[in-house]
Amino acid sequence: MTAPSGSGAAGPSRGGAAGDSPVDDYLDRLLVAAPGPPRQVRALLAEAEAHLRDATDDGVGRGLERSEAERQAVARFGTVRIVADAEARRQELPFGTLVRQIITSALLLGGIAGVAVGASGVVVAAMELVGSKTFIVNISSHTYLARSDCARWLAGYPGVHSCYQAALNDWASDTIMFRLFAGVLGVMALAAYLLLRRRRRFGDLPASVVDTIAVTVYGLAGLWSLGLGVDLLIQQENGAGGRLAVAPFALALALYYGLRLMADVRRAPVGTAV
Amino acid sequence: MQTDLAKGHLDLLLLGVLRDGPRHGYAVISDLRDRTDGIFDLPEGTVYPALHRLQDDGLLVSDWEDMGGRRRRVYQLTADGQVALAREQHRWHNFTAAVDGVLRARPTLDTTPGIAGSPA
Repeated sequence: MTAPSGSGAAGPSRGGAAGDSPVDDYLDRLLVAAPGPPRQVRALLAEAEAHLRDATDDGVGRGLERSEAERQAVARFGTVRIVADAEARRQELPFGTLVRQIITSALLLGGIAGVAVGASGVVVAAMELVGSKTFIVNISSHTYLARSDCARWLAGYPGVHSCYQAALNDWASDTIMFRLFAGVLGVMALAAYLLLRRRRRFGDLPASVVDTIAVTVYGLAGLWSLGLGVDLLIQQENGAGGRLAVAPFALALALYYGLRLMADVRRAPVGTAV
Repeated sequence: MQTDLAKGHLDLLLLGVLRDGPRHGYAVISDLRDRTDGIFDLPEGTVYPALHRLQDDGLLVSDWEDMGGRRRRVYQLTADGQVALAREQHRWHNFTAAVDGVLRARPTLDTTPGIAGSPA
């Protein structure tokens, strides 16, 4: 970018000291009003300055006084507000692009969440193997079990003779199977995400937005399941393992995205939203 | 109305100017003004965001060059830009042909008794 007049740069098209030149005044105001990241602002300013200097030179070539040529050049360029608004509109994300970014990022975060739930299903299955079903299912001999449900559960487990035991088997099986199914859905969502990302039109939401959502959702899910699991342990109730199995995965994801978010924030230029 | 027309077809006009070769912003605007007999009367500064948008869309590329002691951004059409120009040009010709068809003076009907319906 050519240096504005008043900054010591020499040249036939330069005006006087700051405040004397309509072009310099205009560029100063455009610098303040122009939207966007610093690099884009600098580019716009460089183009505006080259344009205004050229237009001024043309005016001088037509016999105008330099100050009058600058004034006319600025007038034809449009007010700072008009130019800044036009640039701001250009930088707005089209609605369709925003929707595609939301879909893509939702597939990523949802897919990761699904895989994490699926992994917790494997952990729950291991807990059942080395521990007991009562550690993964929140059901006790005091839990009310409807007679019609009992009939269904007992039919599903012919070798079991108590409704409580049949319910325990059924709920434990459901707990594991549903989680593994969520894992399969998660893998499918991630595959869809990777396929979409190959297309130029499908991008992610800005990294800082994705990281913020991930930290919030995974963090809350992790704390919630950890809290429930610990509460069940303290109350000496059943099912603590089922809750606790999710917590390490969710909290590890929250930690990973939290570190990424901190890096985003620290790398962002001063004075800009991330 | 002329300003609105120019504004509504700014992309087509910019692509059309750049079809003749790479230009920096001031040259694009000067060309536009000269070739439209002054009908193009938008605030010149609003052309730059339009050029940037066309670049975002992959229809233009730009490069910074030092010319005449000033740093300028020179724009040129991409292959996609040429395709877009041809497409928009085709649409424009269809549109103007349709408008011409409506506005073209038609032979009036002579409604004089006895020869009603005969062409004038």
